Amino acid sequence: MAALSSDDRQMLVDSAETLLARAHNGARLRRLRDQGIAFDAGFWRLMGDAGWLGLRLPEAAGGSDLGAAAAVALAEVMGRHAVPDPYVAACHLPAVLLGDSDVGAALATGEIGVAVMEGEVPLRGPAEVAVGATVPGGEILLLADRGNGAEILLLRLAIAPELRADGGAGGRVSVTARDLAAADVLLAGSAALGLWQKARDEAALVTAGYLTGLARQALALSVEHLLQREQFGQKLAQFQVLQHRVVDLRIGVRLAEAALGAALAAPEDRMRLHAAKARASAVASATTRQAVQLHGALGFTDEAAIGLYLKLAMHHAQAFGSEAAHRTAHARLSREARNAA
Amino acid sequence: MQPDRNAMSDADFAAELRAWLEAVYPPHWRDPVLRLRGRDAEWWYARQWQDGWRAPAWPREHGGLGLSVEKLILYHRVTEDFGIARTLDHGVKQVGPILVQYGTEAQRAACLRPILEGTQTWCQGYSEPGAGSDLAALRTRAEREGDSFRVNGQKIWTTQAEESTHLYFLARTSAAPKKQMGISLFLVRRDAPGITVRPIRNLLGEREFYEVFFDDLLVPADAVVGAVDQGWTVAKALLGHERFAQGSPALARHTYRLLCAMAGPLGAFDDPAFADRIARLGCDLSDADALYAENCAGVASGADLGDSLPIAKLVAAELFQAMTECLQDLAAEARARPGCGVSAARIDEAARVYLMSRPYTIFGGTAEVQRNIMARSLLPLRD
Repeated sequence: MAALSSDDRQMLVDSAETLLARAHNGARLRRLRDQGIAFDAGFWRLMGDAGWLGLRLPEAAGGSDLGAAAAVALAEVMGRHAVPDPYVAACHLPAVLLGDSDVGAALATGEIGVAVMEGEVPLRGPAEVAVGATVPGGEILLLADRGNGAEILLLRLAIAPELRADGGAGGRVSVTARDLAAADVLLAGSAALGLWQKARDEAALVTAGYLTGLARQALALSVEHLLQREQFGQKLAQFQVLQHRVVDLRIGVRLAEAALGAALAAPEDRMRLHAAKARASAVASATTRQAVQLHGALGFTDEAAIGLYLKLAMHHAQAFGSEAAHRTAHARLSREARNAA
Repeated sequence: MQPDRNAMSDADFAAELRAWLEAVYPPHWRDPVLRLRGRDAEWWYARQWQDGWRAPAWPREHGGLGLSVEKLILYHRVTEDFGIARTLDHGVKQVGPILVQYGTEAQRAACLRPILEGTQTWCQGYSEPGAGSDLAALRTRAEREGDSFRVNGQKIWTTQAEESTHLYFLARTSAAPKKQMGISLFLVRRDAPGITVRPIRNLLGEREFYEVFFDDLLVPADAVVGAVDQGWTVAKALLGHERFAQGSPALARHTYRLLCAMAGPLGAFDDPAFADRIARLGCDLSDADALYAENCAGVASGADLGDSLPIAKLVAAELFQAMTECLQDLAAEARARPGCGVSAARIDEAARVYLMSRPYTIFGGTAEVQRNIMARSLLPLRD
């Protein structure tokens, strides 16, 4: 994996800003929602053309192998622009699992997305199972034990889109024992368990980046509103109670940035990862809730952009481990470290 | 001249500092909540000087260690990890740096060496009964009389005034349209005629801070630091010195260790309510640490830190308090369960730390005033 220089990082961020300014806006979001589109194949292809979908894939699979730091930088920009497309769920997470394969190469170009199965996979009989995204081709990765120990499997099944009240999209599939028996094995044994864990951890980290960028922008939109809106003969920004609230939100965002930076700097330190995702989930949730409140009645309208941020925060704060789950995991590791000392 | 340690590797530097602390530092003072005063503090200052570990941030030509920013950060980290007691040491932390920047040759000659040796100790006369967070509202007057100033007024919250040999203070030297103008910074011997001090008992029962009264105190004009009427600028520069260290969550970490040590025997880690609270504090500490480390790295590389320093200071202070609150609640639990394995001394310590942490969101500008100041740049209103 190549190290990400600050120049590379800036280039990536700049190109992402340019593309999103051109190809992404609130109208697209509302169109997807109003037409019930769970996966925007056209936009996915654009992301592939821009090289985003290959960031985490090896060069042999047509990727650029830039690693988690690049993906976090990109995710921060996506969060800032309230991009709803399932970059982490249908690209970054599967990319870590796929590595150098044909499926990886198709993912890098944006030809396909790949879903990942959540939770336990029943081995007997048909079962309804949740996947993290709806992808048209139905490529699905899962971790299962078919009697030979842990295996990372790849199969293709039709995915029924599941549009959630928060605007996010997941999917559902019916899996039979025959489907499982016919699946391709990507990796087996303890290596499979280790890679699966690593992929989930990276997905949590990149999502923390997304949430941090999102929270920063929700705060910026609120600041803009407070500086414009007048009530009782003065700008809202002149009310001390609102000033202090904004400062507290800024403190939260700054802590999320620092926690994220510390986690990126120490990829082997799982306590840092748990702290970063717990913080990002908490801060994005709190900032968007407060942002809606600071916008007043306007904040509860579909028209104002701030509501999009609230919903995306709801979705991604839960994804790959909620605040509570990561906090508890942090405490468990902390306790183990204390007992070992 | 103290040794130049900048060429040492970080590991050697840290090891040498640590070994020196192990060798000379009194074990019963290994408590970051403790603050040394009087003869104890003077002994420690003198010892630092004798062994070549005094005034880490002062330039070498003025007798300090002249540490690079990287080594300075390391110095703070090692002493914090060791659990060194706090010292006021206004001479090293405040007066020395300001004299290096603004002082005359005569002022430096009179002060720097004795500060290093630990024989000249300083207390600060800034706050007044009517000027706390709003320091610029101060009313102590210094009126020019030939080669002197005649000072009348009152200071308050002057820490360790009784045992200090010297006092630096702010007084109004002229009427000015803006309250920050027309203020000057003075240096004076604490035993000068016209200065009396009176202790104020704090919540811990200590008499550590004082009222200071000026009754026709005569100060020579050459005791003004920097230009007359420019004291606000001088004092602000002084507040900026080693400001990054204020964001260190060392006291929060110390208290977190105390509460984990108490939570174990109480079984609090298996109590859902306490477990979640401690888990939250653990994450908070991790993130405060991350921010402090980022700030240290930023200071070292000369990066623009924006609002990160005041944020870290506020986070460290408020987290320290939150830790003491949890510790106090654990202590209440321990008190209700005699025989649980937590000693009465530990229970009492919890109450002391709880009390001791209260002023951390008050001194140096309350947390609320700091939020006001941060809001000014976050919400830039055009007047």
